[in-house]
Amino acid sequence: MKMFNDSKNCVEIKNLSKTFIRPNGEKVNICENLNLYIEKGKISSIIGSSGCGKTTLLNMIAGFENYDDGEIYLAPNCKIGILFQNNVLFPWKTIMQNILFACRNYFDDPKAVIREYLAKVGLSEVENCYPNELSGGMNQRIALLRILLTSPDLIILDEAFGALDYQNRLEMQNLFLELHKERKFTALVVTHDMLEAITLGDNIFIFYDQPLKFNIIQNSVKSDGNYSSIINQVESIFNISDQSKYNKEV
Amino acid sequence: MNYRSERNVSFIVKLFRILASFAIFLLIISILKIIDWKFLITFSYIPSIQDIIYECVSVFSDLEIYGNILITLGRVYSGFICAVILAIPFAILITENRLVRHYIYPVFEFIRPIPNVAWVPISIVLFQSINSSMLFITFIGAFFPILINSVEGLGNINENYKKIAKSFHVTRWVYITEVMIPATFPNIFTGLLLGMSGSWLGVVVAEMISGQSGIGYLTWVNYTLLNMSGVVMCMFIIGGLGAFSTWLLRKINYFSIRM
Repeated sequence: MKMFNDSKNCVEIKNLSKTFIRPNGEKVNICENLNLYIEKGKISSIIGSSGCGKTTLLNMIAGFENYDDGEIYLAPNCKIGILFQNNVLFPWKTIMQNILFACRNYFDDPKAVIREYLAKVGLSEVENCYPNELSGGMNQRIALLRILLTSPDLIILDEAFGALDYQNRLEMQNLFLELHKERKFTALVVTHDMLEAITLGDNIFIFYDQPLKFNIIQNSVKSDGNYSSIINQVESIFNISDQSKYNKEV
Repeated sequence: MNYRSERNVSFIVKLFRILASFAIFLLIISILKIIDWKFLITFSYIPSIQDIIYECVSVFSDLEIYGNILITLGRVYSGFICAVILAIPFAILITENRLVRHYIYPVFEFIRPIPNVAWVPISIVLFQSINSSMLFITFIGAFFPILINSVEGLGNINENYKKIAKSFHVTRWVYITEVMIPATFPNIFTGLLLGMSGSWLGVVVAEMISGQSGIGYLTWVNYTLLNMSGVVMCMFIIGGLGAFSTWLLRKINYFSIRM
């Protein structure tokens, strides 16, 4: 992982290649000479079929996984926060302890700051509760708050709202957009929900095929409100990828 | 077993259940004794409940038994605590250090299946005092269950917990103490329970073979004197103290973790 000095992008992926070998010995080529740029201060949604390599790519960006070739460049002093779908909080710690775990070195009086933020999101009464005493939506909200308290430059959501019910999902999406407006962080949102990708993303990356290929759609919904044009574009990309797969098999 | 669902059960009900299970057990033994069962196993030499009670009253009126109980407890807990102190850090080292995992741990996999009894001759040769060798046997009994369970648990920590800790750039110490150990605690606790049983097994074997004091030694002395009431009484003491140790561990677990 290298740092670069570019004011426009938060992440630059250049000629990235990654393969891994399955337990049955089969070699899987996740990506080959992949080039991708994530704009600073924007939310980039990523959609794509299961197993196409989205999470692996996120893991490589976050530094959890190594790659074979190429380079991932991050903006200088780029701090990354990551939010998953499950197991977002440590079940053996209270909510206060969970948040303190992340940000105890960031503030002079971290407990006071945490209480202030918990009050802001309407969860001031849960600081001494354990995660299993709260709903999934509350846990996600607290996990997001925990990340934000560390002031990250890049937030990665790996299907973070996927396990929530419709109501909670909408609430989380709105909260996320509000916080983004306020903080202007860069975000990578992996989702299986097209509507979520459109609602959140300024850019929508459509991943397909293996090794990984992608198309980018500039999300115009936020300005013109025309969902159907975006959905048509996404579907046509998936149809093209399906057709190319079919041609290969023939 | 779901312990949470048991939290609302009153102490009286719990006590009744324990006493009922004892009553059922003693009733079956008494019936087999009364009918003088001789098919495959024989109950002729098994003492009656009355004899055991007389033995208990006579033995517990003397201070000597309390001394022996304390000696055995001391050996068990010393060996067990030494095992905990060494096994858990060693398990962390095995999980975190590839060299230790590949070049030191395999021999432990080989040593692990050797039963406590087989260690007795070697421990007598290894240590200069009988007490030290018995402590070693109780230590061995607890060390491997704790080590193996901890290694298994530490090797299977939820990937998300690791990633969360890494993304917050916490120190190695914070990661080990606040993530690794609590996340693995159910496995470590299973190891502790098995280790406690191993320690009890070890101490009784060691005291029977080479001891001059303790409950195991007392069991053996009663057997050589053909005092079967004394043997059964000692077995009950061992069972009671073992159950107390397990209860104590469960209490520690209840207060220390919330999963």
